[in-house]
Amino acid sequence: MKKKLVYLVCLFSIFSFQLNFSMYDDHDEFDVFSDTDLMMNSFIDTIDPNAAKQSSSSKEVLETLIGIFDIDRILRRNFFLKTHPLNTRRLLDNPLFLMDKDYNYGRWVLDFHLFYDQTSRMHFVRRCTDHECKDKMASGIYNYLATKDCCLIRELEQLKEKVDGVYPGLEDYSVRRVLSLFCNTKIQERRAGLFMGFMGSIRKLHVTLQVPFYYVIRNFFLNDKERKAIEKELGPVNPGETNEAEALAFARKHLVSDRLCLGDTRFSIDYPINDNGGIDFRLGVFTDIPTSVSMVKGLYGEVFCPIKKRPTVDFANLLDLAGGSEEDREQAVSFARRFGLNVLDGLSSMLVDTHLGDRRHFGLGLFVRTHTPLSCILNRGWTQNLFFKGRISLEYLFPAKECRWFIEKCNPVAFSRFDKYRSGDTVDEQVADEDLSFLEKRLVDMLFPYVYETNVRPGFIFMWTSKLTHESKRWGIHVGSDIWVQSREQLSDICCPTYQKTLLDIERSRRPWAYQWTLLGSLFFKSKRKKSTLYIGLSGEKTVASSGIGKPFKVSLSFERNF
Amino acid sequence: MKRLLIVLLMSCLFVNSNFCKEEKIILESPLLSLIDGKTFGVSAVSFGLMLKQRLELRRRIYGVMQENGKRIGFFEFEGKKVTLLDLCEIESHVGEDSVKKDALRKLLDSAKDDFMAISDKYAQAIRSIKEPLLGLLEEFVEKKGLKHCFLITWGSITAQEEEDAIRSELKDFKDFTKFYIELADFLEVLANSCPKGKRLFVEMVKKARAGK
Repeated sequence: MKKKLVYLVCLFSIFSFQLNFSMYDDHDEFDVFSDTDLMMNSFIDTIDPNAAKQSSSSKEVLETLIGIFDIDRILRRNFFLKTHPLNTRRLLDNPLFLMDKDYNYGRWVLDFHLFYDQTSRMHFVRRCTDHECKDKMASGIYNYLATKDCCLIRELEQLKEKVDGVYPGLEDYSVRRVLSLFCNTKIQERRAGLFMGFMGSIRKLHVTLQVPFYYVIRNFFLNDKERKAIEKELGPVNPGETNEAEALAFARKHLVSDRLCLGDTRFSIDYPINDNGGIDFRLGVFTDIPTSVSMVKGLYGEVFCPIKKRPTVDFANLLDLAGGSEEDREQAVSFARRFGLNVLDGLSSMLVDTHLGDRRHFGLGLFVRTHTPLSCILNRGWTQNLFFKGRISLEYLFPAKECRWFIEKCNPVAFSRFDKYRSGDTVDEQVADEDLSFLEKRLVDMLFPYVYETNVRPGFIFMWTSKLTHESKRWGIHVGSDIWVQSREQLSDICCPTYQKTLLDIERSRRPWAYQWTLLGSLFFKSKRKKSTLYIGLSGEKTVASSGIGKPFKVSLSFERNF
Repeated sequence: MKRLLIVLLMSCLFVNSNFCKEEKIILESPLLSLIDGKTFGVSAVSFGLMLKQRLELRRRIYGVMQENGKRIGFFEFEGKKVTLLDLCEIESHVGEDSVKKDALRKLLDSAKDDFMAISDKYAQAIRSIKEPLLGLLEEFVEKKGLKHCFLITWGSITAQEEEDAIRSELKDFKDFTKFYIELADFLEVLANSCPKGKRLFVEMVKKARAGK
């Protein structure tokens, strides 16, 4: 019995011993931690720290980016919701510059307007009619960039959680909160300059020539409250005066664009078609000649050219740098910073860069001018000097080549190729190389729309201005309203590689149709000289309703000489 | 019967040795899943470098292993080869002998210079990942149950402050040796927590041995 018990204990002991050995994994056939193994020690001594500098394989990179960070889930989403430039109204279409006073001294009129025009919130999209703050809705950059896209934000938050686990220090920031700070970024445009006009009467024919010379500046804009919220959340980079100076220098380099230029020229002629002594109808034609030329660029800000040469990303190199020495890491950070600034400059070239005139489109239009005494409708003593003046025009803008931005339609099915990196399947190195190239290209595609020369057909512009005017010997007043409508543009003949033509999302690249309804008024004084009459006037207009374009206000000080 | 008893005793000894063996500490930081086995993280070479650094530290703590199986101290004190453990012993019995004290202080300074020299090769790489490394150090200290650990101080200061901290905080051989032992243990735990890196290293060793 004793003997059996002893054997039992022996068996148990041996079993435990075996169990103990089986707990070692298969590569513990020699102990790498043994410092009594002289062969191992001498091998370890020969390891060269410089030998650690090797390049990561594509498979390794994908196992990290896909298997750990799920980066493909972010890249399958679109960052750009729109890629078209913003709608603006040309100065030539401004009703304040219509030369429609009662010029009764001589045959020639020389007209100068010193003007200022500001659009505080340019519209990225057509106005949403089902919202209370319609103007604000259309003017936030979240209409253009997916800064409010719930799916993208969710994916980014998940990525951040994973990064937090690996690299602490960013736990206090929330992706949703940070993006919400920037999603209401607006675009502002200001124009100031001299609008020049000359009108001559040759018998009953009126000939007019108009051209503006102006300074235009456009910038990203956040109000004080929004800026304070950003500072509160992210904190000043370097508090103090230096910080403000640096911030301003950064803004001028990346967020502001300006230029001084001569605009397009409008030449028009009109002729009376019905002059029955009361109501006066004049029919005319006009043409807009693309004479615009830039005099000085980047006086305060920069000129942003469309980024045609697309940047490249090398994830393998970036990961190697991130895992390398301090210098390597700085190099990776510097690359990321450059890449980020490139994205910003690319966005600025789309939204902020100030273009010349009407982007080189030749325009041809018809117009009708009316001049109706109120006394024709209501014959009272006080109606003697009151007139209805109107101008209706329809202009066709001819096609011209422009640089336009396009993104490719994202095909989520194409991303199924990355599933194997999550499941840990064996992957051929060549396949991994292709998959990594796809991922790198997708990141660039997501942040840098393609820039292609495109045939743009802006279509038609309709304008209807009506005013009630009163003019006496010494002064006059005009009040009225103006409606301006621009049709939606068409894009064709995109100069892109043939394979890409079906892939491009052209709808996102087309500017929306736009309209403005504006109230306007002007007050002027007449000063009669020996050989001429001088008109000095102050005018202003405010857009009260608009869609697809902002609501600007304009003021102008005019000097007109009729001789 | 006697033979049986001998077998029984031996078996019990094995079992006891097995049960007495300290449980391996494994770090579970998500950082390790990111870098383990990767070229940009813990590759075969990086794993080997970890072992190299650990080996260098242990040579100073316990002495350099000789072919005859004996260890010789790395440092020299009063004409004798001594280890850090020996120096701790000498330091504890030095009393008021100012000459000896002075010699020990000089030796401590040169030991610190030596630490700077051996860690300089890896310092840059470590500095660049100091923030995530601090998380690993904290996990190690917690799992190991260490108290007043200089490793945490070392992990939380900037690169510029490192040398000053080592020179000012580690005032005697006792502190210095404790730091060495903790650092060597940390490197072992870190290496143990990277199974993919370890596998790659073992493959590299096998290849090297097969090549010979």
